[in-house]
Amino acid sequence: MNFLKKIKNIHDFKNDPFGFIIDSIIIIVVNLLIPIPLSGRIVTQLRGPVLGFLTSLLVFSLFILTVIGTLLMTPLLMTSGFLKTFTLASESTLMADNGFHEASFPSQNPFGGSGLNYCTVSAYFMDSNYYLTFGKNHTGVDLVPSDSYFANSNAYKATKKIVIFSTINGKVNHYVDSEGGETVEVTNSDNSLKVMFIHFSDVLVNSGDTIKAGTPVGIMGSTGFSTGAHVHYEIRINSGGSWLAVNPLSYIQ
Amino acid sequence: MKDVELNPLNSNLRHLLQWGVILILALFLIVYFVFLSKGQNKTKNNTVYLQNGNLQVFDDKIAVSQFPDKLAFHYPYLVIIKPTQKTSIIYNLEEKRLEKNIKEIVLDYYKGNLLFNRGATTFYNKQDLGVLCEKAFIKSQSEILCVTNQYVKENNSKLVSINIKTREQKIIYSSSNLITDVSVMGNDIYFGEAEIQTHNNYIYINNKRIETPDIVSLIYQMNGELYFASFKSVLNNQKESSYLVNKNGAFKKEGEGILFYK
Repeated sequence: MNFLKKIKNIHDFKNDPFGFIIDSIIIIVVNLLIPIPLSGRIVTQLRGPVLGFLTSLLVFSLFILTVIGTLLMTPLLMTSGFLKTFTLASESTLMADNGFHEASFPSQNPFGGSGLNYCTVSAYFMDSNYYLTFGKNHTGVDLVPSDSYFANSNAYKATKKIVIFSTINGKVNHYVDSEGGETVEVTNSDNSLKVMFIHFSDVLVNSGDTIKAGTPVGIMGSTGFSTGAHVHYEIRINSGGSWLAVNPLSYIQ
Repeated sequence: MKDVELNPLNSNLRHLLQWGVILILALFLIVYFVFLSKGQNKTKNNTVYLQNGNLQVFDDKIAVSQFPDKLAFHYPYLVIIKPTQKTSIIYNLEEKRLEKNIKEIVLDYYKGNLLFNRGATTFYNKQDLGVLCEKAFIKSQSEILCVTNQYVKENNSKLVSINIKTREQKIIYSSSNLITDVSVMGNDIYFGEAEIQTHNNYIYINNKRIETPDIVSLIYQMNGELYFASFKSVLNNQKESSYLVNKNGAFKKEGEGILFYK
């Protein structure tokens, strides 16, 4: 019997060497895993369906892993800001506005352009309507882009996004305020004045950065205590250690 | 061969008939277009009211946000101001129609004359008045009533009369609190005031003060009577109401929402 078996094995090897090797491997592995007589031989006979089942199981497992991985990783990626390093960093270099005067005191509006040409004031400093609605003072101005902005702003033409620029040279502090508003403060070098921008959808600078007037700091949005997309622009002056809000429109020339 | 007789009418009668047909056709067209245009002006809904941020102006429904959207009233005009869209919508309540849409942040409108804020100042038509008004009313073609911040840092305001030609300002009333709205009916000047510390509210009729139970957000007139609207605010527990004002005081109008026209 052993002799005949050997002759058959040689015949099989000659006819289908690759199949013979695979069958031998399967028999050895299955015999080791399932200690039942002829288990290896039975699996070899059914190798087509078994291999198909195992391949399907592998593909299905990979699919499930991909789905679970995507579900778990997406929020982590979004909150980590990792994706922004690919998208917004390159925009940041595109959008630098050379029309701003480098200075420690602001003289332009954060949309660029001259005077208030590029923006419309939707709520004023100490707006009485704001106080009567919310019971608190409006310590800055709310600005939205004007028609002139959409027609003339190079930053908008290049990115189709409403880019907000720093109006002074200074050091950046980026934080989320108590209402959830993405906020950027830029404080001048002698710590006498700071400008604040609130409600960004995306922030383009990091805390600790030293930037110049004209550096893009964020994309206009509606995060935090906001009823619609706008930028809240605020100027505070250092008055004996406390930061006193002043009317930003008095500074825009 | 016998001549073919087209009709028994002679030339004069045929001309008369042709003129008759033209006249009937013209009459039909005139009547048709007159009725058509009247039909277009007819509205199904004859009221104007605000309820839960929705302003129903005849057949139109407009969403009005609590802030920064505003309303202004100068009978017969109602103005809906949407600053973030830099748009103001003006309705003529007497004629029950949309007067115009304007790409400005309007303070008041009356018979084609426009008072609006642009940048840091207020304009009357094309003239810069040199001051920023938060509320304003076109009193006449030579005078504007304007509520403006008195001090930069605080919520204090004053009511001034501005001579349109000379831009000269005359203080009518100065407040250490907030002047909330201003209006004119006949020869009487009306304005509202909110006390910041006490949260008391008042309406002034030619400087005569009447205490009101709620904020005087918007002074308006309806059927020849004076009303004021109180819009939703944290200062009034987010309730909107309207009040009839006369010499005896302010009386709340029952019912949901604020009625501006019926």
